[in-house]
Amino acid sequence: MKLKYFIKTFIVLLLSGYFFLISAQSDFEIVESFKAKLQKISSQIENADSLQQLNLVNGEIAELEQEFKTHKNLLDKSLYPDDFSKSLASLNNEFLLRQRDFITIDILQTEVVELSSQVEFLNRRNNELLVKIQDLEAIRNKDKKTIAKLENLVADLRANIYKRDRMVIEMVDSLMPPLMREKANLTAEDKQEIISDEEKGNVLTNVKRTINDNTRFLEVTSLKPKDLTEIRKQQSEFSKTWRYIGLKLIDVYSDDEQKSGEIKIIDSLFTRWHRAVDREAWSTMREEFSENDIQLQKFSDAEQFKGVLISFINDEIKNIDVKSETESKNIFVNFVDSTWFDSIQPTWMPYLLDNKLITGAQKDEIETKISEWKSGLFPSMWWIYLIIALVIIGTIIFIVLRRKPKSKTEDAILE
Amino acid sequence: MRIKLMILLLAAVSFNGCSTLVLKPSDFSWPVESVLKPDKNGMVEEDRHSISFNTRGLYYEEFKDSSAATGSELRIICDKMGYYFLTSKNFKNVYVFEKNDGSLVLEKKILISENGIKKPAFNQRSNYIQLVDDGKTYNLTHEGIEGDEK
Repeated sequence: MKLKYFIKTFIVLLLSGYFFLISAQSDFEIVESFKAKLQKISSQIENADSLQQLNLVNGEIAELEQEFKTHKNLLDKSLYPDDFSKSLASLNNEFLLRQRDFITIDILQTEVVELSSQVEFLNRRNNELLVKIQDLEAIRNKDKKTIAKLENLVADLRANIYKRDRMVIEMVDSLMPPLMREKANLTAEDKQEIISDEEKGNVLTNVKRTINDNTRFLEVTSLKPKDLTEIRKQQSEFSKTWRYIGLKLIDVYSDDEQKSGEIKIIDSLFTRWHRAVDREAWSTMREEFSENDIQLQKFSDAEQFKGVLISFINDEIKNIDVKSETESKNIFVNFVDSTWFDSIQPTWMPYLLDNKLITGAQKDEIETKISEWKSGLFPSMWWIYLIIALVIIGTIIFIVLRRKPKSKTEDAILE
Repeated sequence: MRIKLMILLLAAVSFNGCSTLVLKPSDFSWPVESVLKPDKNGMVEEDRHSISFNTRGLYYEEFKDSSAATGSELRIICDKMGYYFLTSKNFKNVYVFEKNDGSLVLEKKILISENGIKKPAFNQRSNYIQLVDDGKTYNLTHEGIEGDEK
């Protein structure tokens, strides 16, 4: 009985002591302590370098809530304009936003590494295909089997290059998470992150290689307007991504001479690639003329193209009386019917006009010259038609005149 | 008798005209004390409750030295009735002020310790202001200490 009384008294004394201590605490200190801890956690969230480091803060938020839950009323009144719950909600929100940043960065880093290995594989495969195509192209008289093989290889290579281009574009794109792009000035940490990602994915080297391979592909193959349109589309997308990220990379590598040099090289490679695509149309058209035994001088823009064609036609017009009629007509048929009207005008002209590689006026000038050539080679027979017409008219008049007197006699008889 | 009745009526009418509009109940209490640092002129400013005043007179009253304000921390809290309780480290007293005509007028000077208050802190409680000093607590109203020292 005494023991029970003693325990009860002890508990009452203990509780009294506890409540005394609670009541002797300064409210101001409680509020300030809460604010300080809130600020500390907020800074930890902001300064976290990794997802693991950030996750440690999560426990601290829970601890903070637990620790100050008993002072909720005081904090609600004191944390003007916020309150206890709003302050914790805001902290949780900061945590989630930062967590999302790290998850995005993590995903992008994984993407860069995965893409890097896939790009490496495609680089090797594309190189093999390019060598094979070059070998087959070198064969002068290709049989049907060789041509088919070549076409298949070119199709394979085109598909591979397209696939690799997409991956490299993604790699370049992955270097900068959306949040980083919005910043006017990158922090030292941001720059370090980009440098680390660039090194992991060997991004600059891959960009250089991709552009070089694309240019080489254009050099060893003859492409149709449809292929070139696709290439132009992809080239434009690639250039757009590079223009944006490249500018930021110049800032990131401002202290690194070697990398800055690589970025400049990439810029010049893009220019080379753009020119190669433009040149591809002109050289393929020249090949098409050549396949029809029309050997033209080289041309690499619309003005040269027009000049070369008009000069060729002028020579042919001049030579009409020199060359045999059959030879002149054969050349005309090969040039106009088999090349110009069969391929250049229906296939290439829409591409050239759409991409502003030629003007309507330049095209009209060439076609006017073709008409002139045709007139010289096939002179108009208008005088024969005139004689025929005169003979027909004369015959009709003669018949009519002969029939009239007969009618008068018949009328007299009737009367 | 008539004269007395006239005087009574006149007084009633006069008192009626002088009656003041009172808004009740009112609560002026601050949830938590503010700790303010006087500037070089002795001015303190409390942003949340938009109050500012000069503290030199207070420090002169306490230490007979108005320059003691510089570098010290003044603790202030307002109770439910609108009385301001002020004290600082090494003060012997808590000063109770009320607002009057653009100034704070001393209502009560409450002696806490002849040796000076070591670690003062005010807490807002429902019917009084609690002063905590190094574990000891005092329940204060504008009239003085409520009850005994704990």
